[in-house]
Amino acid sequence: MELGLAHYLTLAAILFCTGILGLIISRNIVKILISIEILLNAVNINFAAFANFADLDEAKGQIFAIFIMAIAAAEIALGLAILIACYRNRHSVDIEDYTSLKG
Amino acid sequence: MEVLQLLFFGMFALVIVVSALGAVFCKNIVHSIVSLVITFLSISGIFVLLNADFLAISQIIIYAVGITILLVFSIMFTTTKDDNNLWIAFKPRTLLAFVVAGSLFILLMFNITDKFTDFNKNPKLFITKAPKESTVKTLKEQGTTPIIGKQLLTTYVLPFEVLSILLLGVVIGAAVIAKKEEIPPC
Repeated sequence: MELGLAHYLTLAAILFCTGILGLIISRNIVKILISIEILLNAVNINFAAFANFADLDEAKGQIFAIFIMAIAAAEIALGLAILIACYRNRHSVDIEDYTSLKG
Repeated sequence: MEVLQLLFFGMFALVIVVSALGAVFCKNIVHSIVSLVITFLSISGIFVLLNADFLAISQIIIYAVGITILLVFSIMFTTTKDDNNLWIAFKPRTLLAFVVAGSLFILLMFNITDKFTDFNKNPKLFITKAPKESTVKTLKEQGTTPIIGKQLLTTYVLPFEVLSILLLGVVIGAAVIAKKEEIPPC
């Protein structure tokens, strides 16, 4: 048995589905942000795998993975700033309490 | 060599899957962050197996250190003891989430393994090609850092600069959003 592209893609698929599961079922807002990080990491594994098996000369996939990492850092910083601003108003991190848009 | 690679891949993959599930399903939010750190470190091991050493180090620096510190800080700011019973939502959407994630996984596997038939060989859907000899020599001597550095400052210089503006905006924006609001005098 040889280690091929399909193994890495399978691992990334499992990680991605775990992330989507956590994104929907969590009640804590911090846990939702954690799930988004898991999703972005799954995408990074896919990019690195394709860069290794299809395009190692220019490694375009790795560059895109670096861009994704920078954007993930930006996203988590903004998300946590919004969380702290929301917490000041509601005093809760339960996603079920944020229903003011429901009308 | 192949066997060793497969062994390491299996080890890292097992740790990644178990600790990602732990990060999603742990009841205590601090436990789930510790689990998330283990996931990030094992993913950097996967990057090493994929000839991406620069990416592996960036993964450790950015994810396993930076993002974790941000998450822990935000937990200290917000979470109280009562929040430990916030686990998963027992609502219709939980069932829906399992259905969505399961069917997405089956769909992805259907495509990756070429209709569940062809797991060991590379699927015909993806064209793979061997690298040039000069690339292999560079990889053995210097790693991927020179390749990435050249590309970032020639072909991808515009996205690189746009990214720096984005990060500046995020620094200012996060500080403004999280700042304590003063009530303006009427």
